[in-house]
Amino acid sequence: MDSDNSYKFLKKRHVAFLRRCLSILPSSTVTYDTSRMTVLYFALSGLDVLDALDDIPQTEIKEIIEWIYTLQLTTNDGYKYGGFRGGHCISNIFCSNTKNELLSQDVHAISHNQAVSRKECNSHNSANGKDNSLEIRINEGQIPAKILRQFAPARLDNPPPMQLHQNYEKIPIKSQSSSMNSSEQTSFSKHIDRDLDSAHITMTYTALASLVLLGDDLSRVDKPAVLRHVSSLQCSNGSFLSNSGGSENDLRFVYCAAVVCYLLGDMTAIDVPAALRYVADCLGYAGSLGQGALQESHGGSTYCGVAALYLFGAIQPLDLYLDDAPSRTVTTTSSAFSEREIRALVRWLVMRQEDESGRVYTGDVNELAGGLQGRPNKPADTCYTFWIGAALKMLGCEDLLEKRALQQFVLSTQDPVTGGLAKYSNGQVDGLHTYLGISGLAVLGLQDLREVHPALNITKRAYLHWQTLNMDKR
Amino acid sequence: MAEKIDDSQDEVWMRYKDRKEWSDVVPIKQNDGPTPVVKIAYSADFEDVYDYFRAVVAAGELSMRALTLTEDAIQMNAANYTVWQYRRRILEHLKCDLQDELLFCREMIEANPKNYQVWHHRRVIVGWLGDGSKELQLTKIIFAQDAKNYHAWEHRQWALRTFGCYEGELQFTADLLREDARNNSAWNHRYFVLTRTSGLTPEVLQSELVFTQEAIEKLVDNESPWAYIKGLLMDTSGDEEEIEKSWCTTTAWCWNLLAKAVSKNTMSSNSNDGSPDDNGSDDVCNFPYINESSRNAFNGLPTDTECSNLIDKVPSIAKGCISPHLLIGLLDCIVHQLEKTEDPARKETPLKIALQVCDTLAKQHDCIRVRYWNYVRRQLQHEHRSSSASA
Repeated sequence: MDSDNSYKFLKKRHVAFLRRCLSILPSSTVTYDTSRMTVLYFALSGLDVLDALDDIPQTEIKEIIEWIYTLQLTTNDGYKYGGFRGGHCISNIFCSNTKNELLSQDVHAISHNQAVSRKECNSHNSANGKDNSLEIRINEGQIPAKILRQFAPARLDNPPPMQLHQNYEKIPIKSQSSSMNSSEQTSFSKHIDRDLDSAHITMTYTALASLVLLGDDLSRVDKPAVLRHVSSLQCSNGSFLSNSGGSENDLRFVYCAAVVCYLLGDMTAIDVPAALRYVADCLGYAGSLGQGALQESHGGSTYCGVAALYLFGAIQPLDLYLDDAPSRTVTTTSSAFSEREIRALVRWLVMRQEDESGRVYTGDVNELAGGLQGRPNKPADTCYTFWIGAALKMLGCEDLLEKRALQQFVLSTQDPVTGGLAKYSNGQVDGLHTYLGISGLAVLGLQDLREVHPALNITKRAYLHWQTLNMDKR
Repeated sequence: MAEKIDDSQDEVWMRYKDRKEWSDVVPIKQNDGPTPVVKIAYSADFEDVYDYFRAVVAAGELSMRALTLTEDAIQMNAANYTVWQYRRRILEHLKCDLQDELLFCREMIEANPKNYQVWHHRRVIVGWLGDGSKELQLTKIIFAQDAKNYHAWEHRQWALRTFGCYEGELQFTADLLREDARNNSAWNHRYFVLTRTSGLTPEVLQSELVFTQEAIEKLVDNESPWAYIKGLLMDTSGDEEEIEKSWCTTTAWCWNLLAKAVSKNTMSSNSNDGSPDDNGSDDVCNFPYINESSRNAFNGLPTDTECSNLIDKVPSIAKGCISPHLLIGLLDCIVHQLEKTEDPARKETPLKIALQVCDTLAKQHDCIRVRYWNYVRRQLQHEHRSSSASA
């Protein structure tokens, strides 16, 4: 399509849009309050793909790195499990210089370990150089002792037996070590229940990816604590929870766990055979993956499963050209799926591209064909450009898509005024669709964009930096 | 005193900092670190609620007023999993009536049907109660808004797996499919129900084939039932001989469908209504299928010659007049036949036909996937021609 009707890629506007996401978001986005890390990652990785990361001043890059680390939970701060939070909603009430002292007066002495953590926490907060006296002033001594007395005894008598209930469907947490030992449990639950302040595996993944693409060396990541957390989240069926407080468990978090461990250079925290079994269980009759066994095949879950297998080295790409050369340069030692299953998977993936006939309209008659849908008989949506495109890329089959039509569909979802991409044309733009639209184009080699690693979803430039860190040797 | 009319309710919203019953609590501001990024421009009401939420969590207060506070916090951001988690601690500690909680949760689900946390909370509460009797009705309500809501389907399947009660479930999918035969979630659920209940016994397989074929006959260009029918035939749990028979009947049924489609479109081109059949259509009359469109062209599997003659017609039919899903379904049947055939000589015609189907999909009927169908063509040639050559 060389006519004047074809859409142009509004690169500068997207850079501006993502830069705005980095600074401040409107109040309508409060639902991201506990997942701001993902928004940060979308913005940063988007800028990286657009080759605009270098335009951010180094001081600002350093500040972003610092902010990411303020969201880390570490052993030094008294947390058993490491990882990252998605936002600061409740972080300061657990990791504050004043809080623990106040509570200890009222209840009892805390362990040496936590005393150390308090100190670390202090120095960490003040080391940032900026005046946070406001927070200190507000926190200092301001929980009236009577409230503590009023509520503390009741909690003493009733340690919350949440684990059993939250995993009602009898999905036991894999290892006993996943729960705190009893002395720790007691010393915490007598005042503040630190379980509430837990890392989230998706936030840990996006934090690590962001740190890598910002050029950080991950030296401040409490690697053993993160791995302990990942390990504790794996369920007996091989899937993962998102956080220690309990959550749904599905293929999304298998993917997140795989990326986290991959980036930290240590897969031993995962029971890989169990995870592989779970991915295989997700394979449905349509030939693709749902979030769990017998659930509907879905573009997002299929990406998560394929990418996890890719990172585990357990999937073989298809040989599209079937040259009879005897040796194929595939390095995987085993494949979770047979070649026949991979062929069916590829079929399902390429069928997601909407043709003129059989289209599911979103109501906008001007919308172009050629986009990718997440499920049969659903409208095409920008984000599946990445989910489906990258899954095909990992299977060596991205060239099977009609790329020009897809590209035009994606470009038709751009907002020419604000920048950014929406689900469909004339939709509301957001960070997720902007990023996945752009990285989807990049993974398919469209536009003049930096190459993207299909399983890690960071640029090749960032990936090469990560390789120099030799994480597996640390 | 800061007051604000909350749009969603017709009552005056009073901030927590102005509420007498909260005067003993000192709110705690969020500490976003010295150099925050991706800041959210919180509304003053939002900050107020969350400042008090932090204070309550810090104090470990598990009270009725804290429960109400979590409700406000959830109304403002139902995705905050910490608030939900804290709310569950309060519910448990105060031994609250969980039926009330189900009502609240239902409201939240209806307001945020695509939010993971609300559904997770629901699952926990239902688990505590040990009673899943309201879950099918709840998901039905959500399906009335969006019959493909992934969360709701996941929840329904969880409830069924946990509490049983599969009676009427197959009919439920049939009802949804009558409303919208393109509802892929409902097709998937049908498969879920069968797998979890009867399994694919010979009787079930037969009735499912009939059900699906009828759905396709009503709306041929619908990927969902085509995927479903292939799923039935690829299922390895059933009786092998029975499945093989079903492949044969399905293959014959596909050929008949194609015969009807070709017939209909070549007929209409004969009457010159603009259909681009420039092949000259004299030989169309040689086909048995144009006699009566309601009758099947073939009883049982057509012969190789009949198949070849029919498939030769397909490229001349305009794009959009033959569903690619029909051609793909037929291709799958032919490939299955190829795989079951040992004698290389008997493979020749089916292989030729399969390659023709790939060609016409690539060039005409599904040309957006031209590269894919060319690949399938290569792959079939590679797999079957080499085996016939080596024999």
